[in-house]
Amino acid sequence: MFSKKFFAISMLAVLLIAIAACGGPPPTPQTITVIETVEVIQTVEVVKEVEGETITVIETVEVVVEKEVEKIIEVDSENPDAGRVRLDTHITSEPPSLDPSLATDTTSSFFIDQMFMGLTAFDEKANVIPSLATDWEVSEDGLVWTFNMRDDVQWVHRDPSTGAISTIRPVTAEDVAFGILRTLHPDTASDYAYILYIIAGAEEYNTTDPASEEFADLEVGVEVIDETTIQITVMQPAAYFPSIVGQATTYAQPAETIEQYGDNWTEAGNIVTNGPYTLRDWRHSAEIFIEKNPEWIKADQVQIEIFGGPIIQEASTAMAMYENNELDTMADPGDSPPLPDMDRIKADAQMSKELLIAPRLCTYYYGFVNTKPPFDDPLVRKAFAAAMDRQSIIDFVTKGDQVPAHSFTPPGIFGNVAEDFSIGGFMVEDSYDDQLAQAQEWIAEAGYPNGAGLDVLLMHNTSEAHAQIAQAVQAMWQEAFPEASVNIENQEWAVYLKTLQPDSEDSEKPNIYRSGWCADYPDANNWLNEVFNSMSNSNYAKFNNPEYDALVEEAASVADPETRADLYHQAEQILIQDVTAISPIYYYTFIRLYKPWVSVVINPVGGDPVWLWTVDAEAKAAARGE
Amino acid sequence: MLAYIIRRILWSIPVLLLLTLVIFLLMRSLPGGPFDFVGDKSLPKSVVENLERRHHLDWPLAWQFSSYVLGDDITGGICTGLSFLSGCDIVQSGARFGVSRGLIRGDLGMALKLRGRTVNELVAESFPISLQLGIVSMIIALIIGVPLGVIAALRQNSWVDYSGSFVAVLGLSIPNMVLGPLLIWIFPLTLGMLAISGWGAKPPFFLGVFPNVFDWEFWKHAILPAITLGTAVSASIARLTRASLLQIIREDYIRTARAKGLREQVVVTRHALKNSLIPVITILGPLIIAIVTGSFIVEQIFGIPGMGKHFVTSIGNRDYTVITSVTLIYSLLLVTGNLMVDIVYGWLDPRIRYS
Repeated sequence: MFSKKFFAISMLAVLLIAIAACGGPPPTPQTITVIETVEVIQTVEVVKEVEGETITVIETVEVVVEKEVEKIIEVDSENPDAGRVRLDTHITSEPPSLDPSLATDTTSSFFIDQMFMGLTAFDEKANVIPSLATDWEVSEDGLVWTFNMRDDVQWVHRDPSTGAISTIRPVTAEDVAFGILRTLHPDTASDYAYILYIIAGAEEYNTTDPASEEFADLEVGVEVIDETTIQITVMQPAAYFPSIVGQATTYAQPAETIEQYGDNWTEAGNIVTNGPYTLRDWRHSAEIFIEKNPEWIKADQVQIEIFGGPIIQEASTAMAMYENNELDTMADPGDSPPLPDMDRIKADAQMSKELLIAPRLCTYYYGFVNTKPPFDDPLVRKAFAAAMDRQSIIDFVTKGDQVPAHSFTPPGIFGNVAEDFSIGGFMVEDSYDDQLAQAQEWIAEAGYPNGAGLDVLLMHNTSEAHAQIAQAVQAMWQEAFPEASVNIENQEWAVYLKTLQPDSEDSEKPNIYRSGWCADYPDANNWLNEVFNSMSNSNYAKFNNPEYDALVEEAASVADPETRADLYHQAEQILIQDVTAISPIYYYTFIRLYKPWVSVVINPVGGDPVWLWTVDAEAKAAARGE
Repeated sequence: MLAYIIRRILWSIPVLLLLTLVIFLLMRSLPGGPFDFVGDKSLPKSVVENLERRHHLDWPLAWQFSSYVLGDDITGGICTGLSFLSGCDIVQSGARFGVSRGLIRGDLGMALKLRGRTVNELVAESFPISLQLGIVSMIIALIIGVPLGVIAALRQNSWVDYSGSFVAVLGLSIPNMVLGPLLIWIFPLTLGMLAISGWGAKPPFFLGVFPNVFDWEFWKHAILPAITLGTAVSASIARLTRASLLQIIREDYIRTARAKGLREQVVVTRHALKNSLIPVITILGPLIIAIVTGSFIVEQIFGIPGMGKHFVTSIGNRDYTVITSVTLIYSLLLVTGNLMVDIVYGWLDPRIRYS
């Protein structure tokens, strides 16, 4: 009897393995009724008038008739989309929101940019291009912007039960105005509302208690002129304003849908969109798919019909699926290839061809707390900034072909000075030995020869990648200043930001902190003014220079591009070269893998334009053995 | 017995409430709040204020807790009744948003970082999946663990026993994050069978929990993570079974059975095995809870949309409502599990009586 039980248990185990070996159900043939128009030859009686007389003639003619035909078609009931062009990607985390007013992260923004249109958009060189707006002009005083919009963009809705995508109504200037005001309404509590504070009355509207009496009387400088014309008044002349209206927070939004569903309006089945794609399926935390919008203005140019995949947080799992041809990309909206795999990818004959490294509008930097001794002395800051071998960090730690940085604003942003090595050139000399000698000279001049008497605390937020860079830099500083003591600490992200906030106590702060900045829109205003203006709350360096403030504020308000570029040049000169408030380390790159059958266009700002991508479906099917 | 169960259930209510309070206070004592940052950037004060007002984080702590447990309307009602108390005006001006109907009405509140989603939704979509994974892991652990333990005990000190112990120690000491990728490499990548990631069962589930077990998709996705999660447990079960059977087999009544001339097989299966499984069965409750609550890493590796992720990420996000609610659910599970074990214990071993 014992053996029987044991036998049963082993049989169960065998059964489990057997289940593992067999596949799914075969496709089932189905009979469906279709209405077809066919040409048939019929004999009919025709009444004709010949020479004034009416006679009846029998004639054989071809007529077109509609007929119901029964057809047996092989329908794969598991996959009714067989045959449609599809790109399989993964998604790195559940998007916190697909609401244009609320999204803040890259994953959400990626999907929003596939489904909605702004007045403007960005091309692959981060230039502002027309989108919903066909053209725009600004009044002579630079305060009133008028945008003329296309009239042929439609709101569409996908019916989840039938899969049919139908148009609702055209997108109008009212929808754009509604979107902007909704972002700014305090009850919406949009994180990125502050980017719109340049619009007249926006800041007051966003910061007034909506229950108060004065709220009803507040006015925001957004005016609908007619169905396709919208006028926006700004606080001060801002040449970069066309890039602001390419931000998701200003996208047109469907008022009636939002009213009907409230916070749930972005769920599949509820959502109404106007972009090249619409939401097909969003199983929270599990998977997201978008589907081509056949009613879109350039739908005939869109090749990929279904785009999406599972939400997988673990990059190495996604990498395994990519190598198994289950995924077509290791790229946004998913993870980049994992760092430990980089050496292998570069050495692999096939995968090295699939690797795509492109500049990204972000800068990784170490900031000095400018008010905390001994880093209140610019010479000490310059010495520490010089004693960093940026190329070695890139070659041995980050491994993504990043570019050593010597300015805060990276190449590709309007107003950057990355070409001018008179600014921050001492950080990126050809020979690191020159940098080292210069650093030692400066530190001696500052009164700390060989770093004697320096006790430095470097802090980063908890992460393996940041820790590796910090350890490399610590070793470089120890080599440059042998008598200094350099310690590393890390804090969990939320705690870290609390420590760094400009109004926290200096005694709590480290001497040097790690940070990074990525472009919200491709203009130096988003960098030099919004980060290091003395009023900014991202100014963790507590850098306070009235001359600098004046420069960046002037640059924000003048219209002439050359004047602006010159002002930003002067600002970088102060920030990096003269007082070295921070030490830029590298400009980021995108590190991505795309299968050879996928061809892509990458946008450095906002989500990539999937509607311009193509998939060679045959090559893909062949690789998958289908 | 019934009176005992009822008393235990009643007792668990203040325990859970106290626990909620402790988590609530602990989370708020951490520096930094849910809205201090988005991604890599910190937010202006005015924007943070809008967000905090929306989620009632501008209320005094006591009101926030009351709102979480009793609901906004009751909290607001107390306020108007005792209008001399400070904080009353804050409650009234913020009452435009119904954030929570309160724990007592089964509302776990709104998630702070996932906009527009309720914690009830998060739990409803992720908890059944964690539970399914846990149950399948447990079944696999039993299928492997019990026979392994029995064989090892019957062939004590033979090579079977030693290699069984070796496998058990190995199973206990290989961490999930090694075993998971190893299994992925062996099965889907090398042999081309089973799925790398995802979960094969989609809601709605039978009775809210059970997937369609006749659907191949379910097993295709469930087997590897369940083995990863179940291996360590099967090792503990094997060791426990072995130790327990070894002890039983030396008891007097076994010697009597043998003296009666019963065949060895009958002695083992009829008399020894049943009794030796008592300790194993009683630890099943705590074990399955340990599996369900400890599935974070396995869910991560296999891309399974379970609840472990919410449990871990909500701490870093300072998502107060999510972390409080998820902890509460895990505690509820633990309390229920322990109660079940006590009941089963009394049923298995009639000598144990509760009064």
